[in-house]
Amino acid sequence: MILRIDAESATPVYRQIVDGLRVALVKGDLAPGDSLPAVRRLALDIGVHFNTVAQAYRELAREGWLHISARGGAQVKERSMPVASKPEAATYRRRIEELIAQIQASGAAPSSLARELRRIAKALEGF
Amino acid sequence: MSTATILVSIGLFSMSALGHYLPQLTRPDVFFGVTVDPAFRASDEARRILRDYRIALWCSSIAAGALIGMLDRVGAAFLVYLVGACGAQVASHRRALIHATARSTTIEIDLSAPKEHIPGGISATLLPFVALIGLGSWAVSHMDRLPHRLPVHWGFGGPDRWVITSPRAIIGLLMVHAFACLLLTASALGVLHWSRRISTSGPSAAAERQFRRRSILVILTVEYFTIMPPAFSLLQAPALAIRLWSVALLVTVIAFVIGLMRAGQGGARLTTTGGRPAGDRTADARWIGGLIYFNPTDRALLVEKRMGIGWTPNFGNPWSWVPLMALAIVVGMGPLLVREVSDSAVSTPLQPDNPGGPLKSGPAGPGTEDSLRRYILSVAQGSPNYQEMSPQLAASVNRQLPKIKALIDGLGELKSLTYRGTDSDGADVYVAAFARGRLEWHIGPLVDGKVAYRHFRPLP
Repeated sequence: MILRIDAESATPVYRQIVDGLRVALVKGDLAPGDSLPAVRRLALDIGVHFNTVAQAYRELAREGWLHISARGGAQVKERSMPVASKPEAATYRRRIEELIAQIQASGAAPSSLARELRRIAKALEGF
Repeated sequence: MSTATILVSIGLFSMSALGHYLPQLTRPDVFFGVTVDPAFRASDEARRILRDYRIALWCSSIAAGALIGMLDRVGAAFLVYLVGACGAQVASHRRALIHATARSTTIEIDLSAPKEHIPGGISATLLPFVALIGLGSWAVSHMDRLPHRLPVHWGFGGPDRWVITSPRAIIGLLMVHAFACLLLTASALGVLHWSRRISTSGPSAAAERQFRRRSILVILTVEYFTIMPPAFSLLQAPALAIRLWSVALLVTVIAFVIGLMRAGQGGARLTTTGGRPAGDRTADARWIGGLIYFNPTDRALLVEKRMGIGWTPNFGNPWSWVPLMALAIVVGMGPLLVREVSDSAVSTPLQPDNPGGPLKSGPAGPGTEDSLRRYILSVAQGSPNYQEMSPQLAASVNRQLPKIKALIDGLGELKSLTYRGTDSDGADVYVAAFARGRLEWHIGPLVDGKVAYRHFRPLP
């Protein structure tokens, strides 16, 4: 499972780590019991401060995805799926609309974007 | 031309030959410390830069060789070579900078990459320390079985420096080797845990892991070789053992290094690199002359070298200075330790460790007879010729002068000095006949006209 980080992106590295790992966790690429690289190892390989990775791991632990050991290791744990509240659903809808607008503004054709969204929706129905 | 000069010249030639090929050992997208398109290496401009670098390198080598051959100035020769080689590298780096390409800002991390371990586990790195402790314990508890003095340094002709056997000398000897092992262990752990992975998946990542494992194996092998000289010394191994040890160490290290050179930096020559991010995950701007990496924002202690193979410290990380400072302290303390050792080696010169032992026939070393004769006469006159002694021997003689002068005065006038042969340590043995007795003298080969080793015993 490959985690991709763009060092020049406007999105903070810590946020990219959280988002990248969450995608892998939701898709099942990382299963309960799997170990993640130690904080120090991942920070060295990405080229960021240890706190950046530790913060990302802590956030995923707060969401219930990870168990963090005292030595900086992290392990994927069983997680019961929470039910999204109405305000949260509205926030996600707004973020999706913002993202679509950003993609359109960058010049992507609406038809190809719609195709991609349909593919994602179809994959989601499999869950 | 002396053997030492020939060996220095061979060393210089080997360094030049290595420098000749260094630019070809780096990752294909790094050229003289600059991130470039891999195709750039095949361009005419790249070939010109490489050719000019090699011309400058070999010119420096020839100039250094001339200094050694004609003037015997080894230190100046190495300085000339070092300045020339570094200058050639920096000049090539500047020319390559014009062709720099943007490094990839996308970083890929394989979350399922296998964990890497020290070959043989952590016990493999600790075993040499256990061996040294065991050796020290045995030696201290069997002092009566040890010889009067222990060799601590070997030259081409056998041992050339000793310590007088004592618990303190044994512990000091073992501590020096333990510290060398500690530095090697730290290097191995640094490569494993504190260096950055460049390739993340596929054959290139596997090649990089293999390269790292081989490098750690070299370090561990050298660590095991490091504990052998004190064992040879304490267990009174024959001179042949240390010769075999030297050859085995040289052959092993050369074999490992050739293997690593064939693999290229990070194992890059073992596989193609298509599709991987360009560069080595460090910014060109953080490299000084393409040789020194300084990046305070990078947490890595070690990064891949951009010239040749292996790793270099990140001088911007304060922690990387700790082992370097420790090394500097030990090197700085080296002369103090050696002086301590040499002082004790000659502080009790009245009893050679093999009195009456078999002597080898052969000519006396140049100048030893005249040197000994001058020394005896100068002591008899009350003003020893300290200028003809090493600083350590001079200090020792100065401390014991009343005792030595009283002995020689009691024996009366020197009548004759007869060469008898060389002892097992390579020292020339003379019998000095005085008016009222005889002394047997052992004197080591002169180094730069000075005596570093000399002792005597009364004969019946």
